[in-house]
Parts: sequence; structure tokens; C-alpha cells
Amino acid sequence: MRKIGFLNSSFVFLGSLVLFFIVAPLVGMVLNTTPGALLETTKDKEVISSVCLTISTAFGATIVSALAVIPLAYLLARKEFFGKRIILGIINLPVVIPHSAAGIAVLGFVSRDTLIGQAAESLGFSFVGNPVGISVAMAFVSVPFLINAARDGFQAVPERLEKAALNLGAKPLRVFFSISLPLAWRSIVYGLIMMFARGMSEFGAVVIIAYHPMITPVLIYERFGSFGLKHAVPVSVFFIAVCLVFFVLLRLLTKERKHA
Amino acid sequence: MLELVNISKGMNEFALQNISFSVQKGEYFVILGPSGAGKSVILEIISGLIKPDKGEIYLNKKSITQDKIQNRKAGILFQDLAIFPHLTVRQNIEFGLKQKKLNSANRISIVNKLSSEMGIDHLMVRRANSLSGGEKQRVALARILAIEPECLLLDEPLSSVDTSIKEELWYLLKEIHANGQTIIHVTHDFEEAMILADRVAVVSEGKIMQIANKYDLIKKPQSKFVADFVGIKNYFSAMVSQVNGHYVVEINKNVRFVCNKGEEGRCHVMIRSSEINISANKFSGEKNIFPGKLTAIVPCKNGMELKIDMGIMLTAFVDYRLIDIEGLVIGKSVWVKIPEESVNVIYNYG
Repeated sequence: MRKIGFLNSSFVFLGSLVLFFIVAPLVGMVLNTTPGALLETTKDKEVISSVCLTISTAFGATIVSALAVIPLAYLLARKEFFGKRIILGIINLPVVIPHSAAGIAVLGFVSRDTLIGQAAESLGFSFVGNPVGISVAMAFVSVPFLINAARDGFQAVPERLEKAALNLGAKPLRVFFSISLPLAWRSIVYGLIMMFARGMSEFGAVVIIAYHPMITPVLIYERFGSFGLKHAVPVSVFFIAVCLVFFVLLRLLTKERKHA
Repeated sequence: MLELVNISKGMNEFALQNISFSVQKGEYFVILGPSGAGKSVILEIISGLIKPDKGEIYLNKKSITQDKIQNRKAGILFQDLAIFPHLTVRQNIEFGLKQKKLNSANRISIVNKLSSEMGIDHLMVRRANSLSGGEKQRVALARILAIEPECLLLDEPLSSVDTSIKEELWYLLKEIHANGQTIIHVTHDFEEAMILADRVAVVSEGKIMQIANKYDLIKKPQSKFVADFVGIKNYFSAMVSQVNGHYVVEINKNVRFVCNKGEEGRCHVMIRSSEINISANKFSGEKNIFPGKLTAIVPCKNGMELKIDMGIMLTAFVDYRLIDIEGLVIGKSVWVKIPEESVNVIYNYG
């Protein structure tokens, strides 16, 4: 029989504790939900509409951010310039600051008193209490995941390949689209998934910008506050299931690309 | 055709200094030197991947120093080949042609011709990362030849392939050259340089040590470094003087020998290790005979290299068939005879 050493067995034990810590509350929550309550939740228009809003705002935040983030990530991966380390620090700020504080910061940036808020007002909408505002709050807290993953992806592309493409007569933009981007794509998709997932699960920043319309994390909080745990759990389970479905689908998508 | 004039470039811990040479159309020019000598940097400067700090590069008498990489007409084949791993072999070869905006029929015709010449027409739908080392070399060559570079720059292209494949690729490069392609090839492999080159530039620590026809490089190395690099073991600074009608080479106070031609003055002396005679017994005669002590025995391909201390450290090569191997012991006293005609005096002392 194979012997497991003390080091390995103690690491396995500690690892199991961590896994238990993650899985137990989720399993407990699922077990505390009856199929009937869950079925009822899937028919609850408020829940469905909040899930759709959450997915669409997180998706919008991710796609729109990607248009600017991918070029930025490329610059950070390829160029050395004064202040680069400071920029790298700034990029990770939203991850470390409390998300309610992040919400306050975003509000201070897009409220009706600010230049951007007033510009939006003149176009006939307000960030506050609006899906666009929700997307902005989601993007603020989740964009570091995309930047870091995309930067790692570009860094992993050998610069030699880009030089070879230039030497073969390709213009820099063409090199970016035909060499750098396809080779970094897997990391970028991973970053998109992480940003999307993080955006969907955001509560603190979003609730400051828009309590209404309600995204699902806010709805769960409201159900808990108004009706108690019993009414919050089925919505939570349903939302987690939706998140998992998206997460698995997107992971499968990237896995397929890997073998393409 | 291609001319570099006083190219200098400072890198982190190294600098190219006043690199100047010219390469004629259709010439096979090899830049030979050890790792870190700056050979690859020269190629990257020619191709435009690195800007020189000073100096000019001319292609067909027109300065290309400030030209963009895309417009240089100097195709570089990197040491690691830089095959695009996400593209098929066909897409790799076609890449440069697409940038030239050739129509599909032309592209297909060029790709088919090159793939056939390179012997890779059966690999066209394969992903580049599924190819063997030799196949990758051929794909990379086909890709760079597709853009019809005026000057083909090869950066140690054969450093990572097996000997048998290397020989095949040498012949392939010779064929490409025979078709009129101008080639500048960087390598650290002296044998490769001798097989392929018309002329060779030996580079060390960012400087060109010597540029010569490959035969002159062996016959007249102009420095100890070049001599070492081309495999000449016995290369010494010396003074030649005429004594009683003979040319006497003095390497130091204790080591003097006669050579059969020369001029008085400072020089370098080269003695081919295979032409030195070694014996346990004293040779007959008086000229150029020295006692010495065997300090090292190094087995090599066809024989042995014997290091002998005779006031200078001399290396002699002996054929396995001509020596009693059992009798060779480190520390043993031996006699050395240097034939007059084996002493080559090189006068461009610098």
C-alpha cells in the first residue's frame, strides 16, 4: 500500500477544510430550499426580471470595457514607460477598496452634480437609478480582472512572433489583430468571464448607484431585509444556479478554443 | 548591394562598435562568433527590428537606416524560427504574401511552388506547432522566401536541429544561394561557416575581428581570437629576425625556431597541430627540435591532442594509427620537432 507522508496528509486535511468552508454554506443553502419554493421563484417575474437585468448589465459592462481594456492591457504588456508601476497599482485599486466606498466614488463621478452626470442628463438619462449606472458600477469593481488577465495573455505571446510578422510586411495594427490578439485570446476570454462573473455578483457598489431597478444581489438583500431568510434563500439558490450555468458555459467555450 | 557603415549600438552590458562591411549581390556572407558577440544584433539592425545609435545601412546604395521594418526587403529567419503557432503551414507561408495584397491565385501558386521546393507540400494543413524541428525550419524558410527578400538574414537557423537534418538543410541553403539569393547568415559554428560561406566576418564583443574569404580565414587568421575560433591551437605573437641567412622566429627567450620564409619584424606565428612531430626519442638533426613535457592528453575524433609544455604551450595532434597510446602518460618527457615548412608567419600584426 502506498504511504502518504505526514506533510501530504496534513496538506490534504487543511485543503479539505478550505473546500468544506466553501462548499458547506452553499450546499446548506440548497438543502434548505424546497423544490416547490424554487419552482415558485422561477415563476416570480420580479426575480426573472432582476436576473435578466443583472446578466445584461454585467454583459454590457464587460463588452464595453473590453474595447478599451484590451488595448490598455497590450500597452502594459509590451511597453516600458515612466509611471507604469503606478498605473499597475491604480488598476488594482478597485479590488482592494470596500465596494460600498467604490459605489460612493462612482456616484461622485456620475451623479447629476458632475460634468459627466450633467452631460448624461442633457442626453435624457441619468446614471443614477439606471441600468447604465449599474453597468458603470459593475465595471468599476470588476475591470481589474480583465486587465490583468489580458495583460498576462499578451505577455505570454513571444515578442519574436510580432517582430517576424512585421518583418514579413505586416503593419502594426495587422500584427495586433492577426498575431497578438489570437494568441492572447484564451487569457482574454478568461478575463472576460471573470469580469462578467464578478460584475454579476456585485452588490455594494451597485446598491449605491441604483437600488432600483434591482439587480438580483440587491433583490436578495431586499427579500432578506423585508421577509427574512426563508424568502431570500430560493432567490439566492436560483441566482447561483444561473451564475454557475453561465460560468460553466463560458469555461466550456474557452476549453473548445484551446483544442481548436 | 548591402552596406553597413560604422554601425554602433549600445545594449545593456554590451555594445556594437563601428561595424562596417558590405555584401555583394548573390553572396553568401557568414557572421561567425561566440554567443553574446553581437551577431544577432547586427541582423536585427539590418532588418530594422533595432535602431542603431549611429551609422548607416545602405541597400542598393539607398539608405534604409530609417526605413520601417515592413519596407526593408530584408527578410529575417529567427533562431527560434517564430512560426505562428495558431496558423497552419499554408497560412504561415501565405502570411507575407497577404501583406503584399497578392490575389488568391498568385498566392496559391507561390505557396505551392515554395512548399514543393522545400519538400513540405504534404504538411500544408498541419498546425505549425505539430511539426518537427526540421519541418519547422523548412516552413520558416518558405515563409521568408515567399516575400522575395533582397537579402535573406539567417539568425543561427540550424542551432537546434539534429546533425543529420542540419546537413540536409545546409544543402537546401546552398540551393537557395545557388538560385542567386543574397544571404547573411549568423552562426557560432565554424564548420557551418566553412561549408556555406563565400566570405566570413568573425565577430567578438561587438567588434569585427576579421573579414576574409573563408580559405584566407584559415590560412591567415589576424588575431589570436580568430585563430582560436577557427580551431588553430598554436598561434603565437612573435618576432622574426634574420640570422645567418635563416629566418628565426622568437616567441620568447627560450623558444626560437627557424622558418623557411618571412620578413623581419613583429608578427603572428601559426603552427598546424597535425604537422608537429612528437617522439619519445630525440629526433636526428638540430633545427626546431625541443624537449617538452606532456601536460594533457585529449582524445578527439580521429586521434589525440597532446598538450606539451616546451617553454610555450604547444598542441600537437596525433593520429590513433600512428602512436603508441599505451606509452602516452601525462608528465612524460617527449621530443618535439616543428618542420620549417609548417611554420606560417602572419604579418598583419595588430
